Amino acid sequence: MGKRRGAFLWISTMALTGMIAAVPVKSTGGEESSSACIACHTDLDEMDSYGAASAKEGAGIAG
Amino acid sequence: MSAPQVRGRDTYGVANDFVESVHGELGCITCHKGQNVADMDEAHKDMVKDPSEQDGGGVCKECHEEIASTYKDAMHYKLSGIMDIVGTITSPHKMEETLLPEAWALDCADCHASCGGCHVAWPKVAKGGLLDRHRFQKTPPMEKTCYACHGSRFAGEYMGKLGASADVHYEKGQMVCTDCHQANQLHNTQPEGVKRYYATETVRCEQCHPDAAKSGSSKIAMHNAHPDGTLACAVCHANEYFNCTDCHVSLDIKKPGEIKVIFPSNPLVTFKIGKNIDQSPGNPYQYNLVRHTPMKKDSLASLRYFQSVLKGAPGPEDLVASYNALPTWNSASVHSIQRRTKQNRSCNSCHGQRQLFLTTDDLKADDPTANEQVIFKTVPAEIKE
Repeated sequence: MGKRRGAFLWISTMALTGMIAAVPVKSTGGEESSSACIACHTDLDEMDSYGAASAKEGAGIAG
Repeated sequence: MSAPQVRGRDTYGVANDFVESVHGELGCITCHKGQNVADMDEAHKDMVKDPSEQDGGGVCKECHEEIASTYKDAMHYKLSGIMDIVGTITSPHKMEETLLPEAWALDCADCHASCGGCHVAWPKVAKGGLLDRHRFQKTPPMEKTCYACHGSRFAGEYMGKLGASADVHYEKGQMVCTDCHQANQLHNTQPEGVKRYYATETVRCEQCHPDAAKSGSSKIAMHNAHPDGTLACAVCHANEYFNCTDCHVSLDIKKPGEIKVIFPSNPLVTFKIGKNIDQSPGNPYQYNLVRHTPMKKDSLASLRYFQSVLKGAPGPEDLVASYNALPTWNSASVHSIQRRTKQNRSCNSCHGQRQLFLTTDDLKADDPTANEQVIFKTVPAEIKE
């Protein structure tokens, strides 16, 4: 009985976590509405790793 | 001890202090759209990379309506100067009958500046990337923004990267582009009927150097010797500058679906005084420095072939049908100003020096006939002591 209850709780928790991850954060304006974007894009070390890859193409200078 | 890490351009990283700024408080998706979720692909779905681009203001015009109301017609946004010239020399052909609209969209349009393309990111033509962690730059940094589009002419020579010298206003004056070309000029609508930039309001040399302009009562003998309206200041005070010649527009179609416009051309560093055929209140001089435009009669010839390949039928055989309508030597605002130059050392450093003047010696057989209006038939004679 105990094992079955444990398994039920584990499955419920994982399902709830999955639902939360998939549902967009409700927009209340500003920072909260973009919390996921901000969390990633302010990780500068991570972002610079993409930046370096892009910069390899080099800058063009026009006339 | 390891060497300090040198960061290239920022492409995606956003500073925490930006998030707390007035623009940052709006939230990313207010401007860029997309989804506020952790999954990267999902988050970027329907994202707008440059939300300021559309109609000369995009989302910016919601708060900056006054600037956006003129910027949508400004030369920096519409690039109407280029379009006017191309339209003139390809007349009477209609653009839609040629490959020019495609070439325009593939390349020329990259130079058009959105609000964000100066105030937040590097211009598109320089491959984009954030200027400084998404912090908004009220005054765009010239070495990243102005230089990206004007690097092979004005900005390059101003900063000493091209030609014989940097400009004294840069070297000694520490001046940036916006000290002379202020926001109201850069954001403003192009005056109606103006082909290039001479009728836009810009600062003039005599506003900062009023004594220099008083021909007849100047303390500088050479200024007195040349009546008002004769010579543009740069004729005496600029150094050699960069030009392009023999330019050919071609397309690189090696990778399917990835067409690029390429411009093989020959560089030319020279100094040529010509007759000013663009006289206007902002450019009133009889003689000006002239720069070679990167154009020749067959510059666009390959577009006929590419039109065959890409559209199944060749374009007009004589695409540049009105090539003679415009000169390829044009009045130039050379930005390599110095007080002392080799042509202003003495009267005869210029007078009698045929190589400083645009003459028939500089014209080629297939040049447009309009060049005849710009050249000197005889150059000012040496002055006898």
